[in-house]
Amino acid sequence: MDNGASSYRRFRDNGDQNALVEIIRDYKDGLILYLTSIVGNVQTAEELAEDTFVLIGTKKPKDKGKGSFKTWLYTIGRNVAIDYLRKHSKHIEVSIDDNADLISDEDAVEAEYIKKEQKITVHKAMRKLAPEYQQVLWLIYFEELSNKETAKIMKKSVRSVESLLYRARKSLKSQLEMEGFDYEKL
Amino acid sequence: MKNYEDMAKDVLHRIDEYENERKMKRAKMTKVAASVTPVCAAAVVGVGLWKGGALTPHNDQLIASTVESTASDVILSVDNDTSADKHSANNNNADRNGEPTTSVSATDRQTATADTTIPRVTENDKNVVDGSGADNASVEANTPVSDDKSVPASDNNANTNNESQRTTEAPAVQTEAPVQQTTPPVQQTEPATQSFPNNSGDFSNGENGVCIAISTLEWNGITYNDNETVDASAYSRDRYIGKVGEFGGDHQNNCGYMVNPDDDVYTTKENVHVLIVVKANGTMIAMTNPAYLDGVVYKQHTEDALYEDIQVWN
Repeated sequence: MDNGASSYRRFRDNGDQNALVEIIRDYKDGLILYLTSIVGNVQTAEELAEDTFVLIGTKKPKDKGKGSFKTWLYTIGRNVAIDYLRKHSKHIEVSIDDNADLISDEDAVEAEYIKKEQKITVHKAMRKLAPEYQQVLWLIYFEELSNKETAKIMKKSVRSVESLLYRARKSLKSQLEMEGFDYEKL
Repeated sequence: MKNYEDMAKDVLHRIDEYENERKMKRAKMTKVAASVTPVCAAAVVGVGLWKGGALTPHNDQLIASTVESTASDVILSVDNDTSADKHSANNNNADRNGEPTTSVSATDRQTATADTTIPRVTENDKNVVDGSGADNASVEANTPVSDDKSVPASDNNANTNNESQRTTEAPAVQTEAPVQQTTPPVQQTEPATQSFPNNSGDFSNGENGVCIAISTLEWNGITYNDNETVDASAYSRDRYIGKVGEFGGDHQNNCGYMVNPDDDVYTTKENVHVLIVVKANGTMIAMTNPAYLDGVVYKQHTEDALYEDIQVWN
């Protein structure tokens, strides 16, 4: 999966636009779903994901290679999302439940990206959790990142990520039980 | 939701837009810089020149300074004149003409410069002697001119005894003035004629070592005054007309008269208004009459006039 690093190097050093297309192809959905856990809106997350790729394409920031490309990309995406939230903090937030189109879009993305029925069920239950819980659960259980990488993306210490993950799992369990699922079987 | 191809298109399109925009900004900046840089450079150069004093009206100052310096030259020569001697000479003229004295302005001037004249006479004797005006009377007569800067030979304070003479000198001056008003340079430098200690051989009678008088010659009914502004060597002798002693006028062997009775008098080929007196040692002295106008060969003035002198005069 870390073809992303070599693709990005090709794009940055040689101007190969196909390399950027490959990056978009490989990381678009995961980034959108991750950003959805931050902004709570899949369409906004899609726009922010696009902004993230444009940012990479124009500014061409240097990947220091300390972590994986995915971690670096998600970190940039998170910063873009946070900037967005700062700028639009005064705007009225639209509840996901009130917008059927948004839900259907997110379902399509998660069906395409997650593919496993059980995971889709968990991901749907995650929507009701707090954004930070969603992020940490998404990064660790769906993107299969380590605690260290997750801490790096979320700009937290590993210990706080572990604490956050513990509380997120507890919250997810109660949420699944409320919806009639058996958490232990998941 | 966009699929990855659509998103890739959008992303690449936005990247291209961004690059184009950046290029346009660069081009704009280049244009602005290209148009502004010469202006700024010109402004910097202009300010530099201005601060450096290159744009200040130097020429006017130079002209003014030269005018002042020339004027001060004249004034200096006037200052250096020992007016007492002149007055003693003019006294004789006054006696001859018998005209009333109108030298009020002359006396005023004298008082104004009285303090400064004494040292200058002794110090600048030789320098000033060159510019002795032949027409003493004309200087004094041109009161408007002399009021400005050319102070007629003012008496030294020490020469208070000559005050009575001064008053009598004025008339002689006035009679000559109208003729020589047309020759301003001569008029202004005339007072310097009063100081000529080096040319006259007989200074032995001067108590202070400086005894200056204006020598005159009467020939064909015209009075000729010694005129040191005229370079006598520029004229060639024409005809010998006799010894000085054979002519009327002021020329004595005592008290520093420039022209002595034993000197020879010649007419000049160049100017009928100029006579040349040749002394025993070969020194030539030009004598000019009031009708002497053009064709003057002035001696070059070599002394630098001091600004203080001008100030004193003003």
